[in-house]
Amino acid sequence: MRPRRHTGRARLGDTVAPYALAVAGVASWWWSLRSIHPYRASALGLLPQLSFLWWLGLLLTAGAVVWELRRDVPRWPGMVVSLAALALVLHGTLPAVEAVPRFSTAYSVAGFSEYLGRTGRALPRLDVRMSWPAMFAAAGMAARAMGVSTLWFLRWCPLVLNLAYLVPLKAIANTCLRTERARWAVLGLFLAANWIDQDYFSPQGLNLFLFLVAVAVVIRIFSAGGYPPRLIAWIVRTRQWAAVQRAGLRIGKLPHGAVAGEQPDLATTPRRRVAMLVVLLVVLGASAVSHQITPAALCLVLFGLAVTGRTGLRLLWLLMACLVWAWLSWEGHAYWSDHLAKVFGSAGNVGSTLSATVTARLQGSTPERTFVQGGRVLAAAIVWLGALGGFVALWRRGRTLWTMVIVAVFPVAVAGAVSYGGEVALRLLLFSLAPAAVLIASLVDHRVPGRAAVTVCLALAAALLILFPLVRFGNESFEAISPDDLAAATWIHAHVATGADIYIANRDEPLEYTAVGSYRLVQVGGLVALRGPELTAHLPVTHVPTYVYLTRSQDNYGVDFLGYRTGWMSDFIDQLLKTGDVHVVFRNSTAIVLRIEKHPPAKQPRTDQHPHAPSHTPPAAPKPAPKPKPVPVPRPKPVPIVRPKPVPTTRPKSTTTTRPKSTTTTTTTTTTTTTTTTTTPSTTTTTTGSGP
Amino acid sequence: MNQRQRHVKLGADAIALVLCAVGATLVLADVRTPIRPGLVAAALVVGTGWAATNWMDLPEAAFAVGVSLATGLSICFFVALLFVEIGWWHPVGSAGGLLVAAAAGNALALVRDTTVRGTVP
Repeated sequence: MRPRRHTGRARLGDTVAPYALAVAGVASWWWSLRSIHPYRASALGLLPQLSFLWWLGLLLTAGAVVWELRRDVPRWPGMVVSLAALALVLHGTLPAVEAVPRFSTAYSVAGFSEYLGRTGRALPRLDVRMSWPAMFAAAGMAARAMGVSTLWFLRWCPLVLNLAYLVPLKAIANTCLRTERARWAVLGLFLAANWIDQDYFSPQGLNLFLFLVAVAVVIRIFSAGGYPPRLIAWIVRTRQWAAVQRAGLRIGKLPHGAVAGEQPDLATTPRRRVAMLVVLLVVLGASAVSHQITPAALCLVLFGLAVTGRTGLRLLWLLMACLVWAWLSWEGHAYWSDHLAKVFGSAGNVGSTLSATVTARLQGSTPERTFVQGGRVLAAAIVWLGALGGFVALWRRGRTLWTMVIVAVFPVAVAGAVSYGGEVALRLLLFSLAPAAVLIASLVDHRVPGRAAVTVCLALAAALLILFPLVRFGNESFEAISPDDLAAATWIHAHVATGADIYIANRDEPLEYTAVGSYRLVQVGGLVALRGPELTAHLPVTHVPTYVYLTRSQDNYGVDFLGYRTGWMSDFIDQLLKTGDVHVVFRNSTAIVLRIEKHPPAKQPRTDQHPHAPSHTPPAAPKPAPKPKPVPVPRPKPVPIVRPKPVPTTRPKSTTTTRPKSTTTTTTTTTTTTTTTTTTPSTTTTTTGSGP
Repeated sequence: MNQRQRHVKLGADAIALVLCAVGATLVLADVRTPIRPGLVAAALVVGTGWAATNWMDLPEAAFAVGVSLATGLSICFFVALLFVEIGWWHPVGSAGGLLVAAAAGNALALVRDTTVRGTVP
């Protein structure tokens, strides 16, 4: 890209153009939102619903960013406005079109926060995530201080977090890259590449921000000019090493070849370095007590930077490891002591864990799902290949950015410790996005970048932007929670007594947005396939109030992810109603709540054995056995049966303010008090700690 | 730090002070207003973080803002976790106290930046 001469009117146009493009793009985007109906999304997500105006908005806002980047030194107001507009189009579409927050896991996080805010106690045995309660406690505290429900945080969180990520990313880019153009380009690339959907209100979403800040502090303030570790120093002094060096392999510069961009900030003073070390320790500590994976990733990154001589804090990784282990031993032991195999069962299997998680995600149940998942793999490949290309281009120019390579690659070792519920590959991709964006932007890190480099960089950005709606909005058929799904959950919290069993088809529901642990959630599992008398026989005997909660999102999840046929849920509901033991107690346009009332058969007195006789005692001689006393069956307190009511058809108003009537103040884990005797072997209880 | 940067920093001190003071008032007096959620959230993260890091005089804007936000977030995490662990859970009082402390920190920074360094605009 050549410097351009600007005169008169052209200069005025050049000055105003980015702002005009950004405003026009946002206007076009805003107008396009009318055509998007998230609760009618297909297996391709929102992609088929995106109108020409949405694409025009994306084109204009991306054009605003590119226009400003044409300058040798882009103006910061122009870049801020155009990047904010691009972020709004990419990451603000879902919050803007959905009436209530999306994603069932976000509702669980809100529920944990609400519970902690209300009681000040964590429930580590209920869910493993509660063993790292700092973020939930902070959100609960903040929500109470703000006078709102914890659902307040959910809706616009993705946009806010993506904008927040840009701040430390800019600091990292300022450290690593030489030209302002490349430094700003990093931010646009990151926005386009972050389709991973981990930016919802969650510990990992906030911890990615802490991760980026910690990396920025380490590479900016505590970077080292490069020094060979002892073993490498000894090797370097040998003749063989001299021969290797003569072979021209620039890779030999890894341990002691830091160039500008990786060298220490000489402007720092000892006082500032001490202060920054304290800040760094606070950030690392906050990460260690609020998330499982991020501290481990940080520890690995710090280890990598120390080993390769890229930071003066050579033992910080050890301190981080101690922090992680200390918290795991103190607060986290409640969960992992009971689930050791589940947590560390895949330790050491980096390759198999990664391949298993990726393969599982690639196996779509329908061609549309396969298409979406293929798009995600393609987007990840574009990011990583672009980063590799950027690194090679730097190499050819005699520069290296090993720091960014280490930040991108070292967290992969996390997969060697845990599988993280099959999500570890996504998390690793998330950690690598920021350094990958820096490496891609390094393609244009010239005062006068070459035409080929600019073309490649633009092509990568365009490919990511085109794929973005497919890969980011591709799950909306089941991840969007409709207002009526939430209204049914609110009805349950208002009308169903604590300790009840709630049967659900899968976990794609918002039930736990409040009163966490009040109910025992059971997945219906194999019941879905049963018909007629078989279903009647396998229905659970209801010693406690038992309900079935089914929603549109669960229906779509079954079709798109579990491979159920279309219409399976309505068939299942019909079959349930035909048993005569199930009644509708609440229904709206997208959700239904049913009550199961199946009484146990009359008990026959047992005459063959005394009830208290040891089981291994052989049958007694044929003499009249004493008549056993009837064994008292503990029955729960009778709960008023809610008869079917007229079906409400009105949609709830703002669900962010609908707080259900609190059904309990002493919420306990119901796993130890259940008395339900289900005869269905394939049902799954989900109140006990589910995987992360 | 040049004169322009000092003025910017002084403005940031003043904004953070106002944010924390108003936020603390809204929380402790339990004032119900539509601006309360957003203002208190911003005060808890931005105001607290700025109070803890403003004295470091970090020169680069992106770096300073990033460090400030991360510090504010971390302080909120630790304060909430502390009260959970010791079993003394008063979320409104804790948040209000945190905001009062942050307002005091920002006020000290404002006084220092205007008097000691002689950068009265």
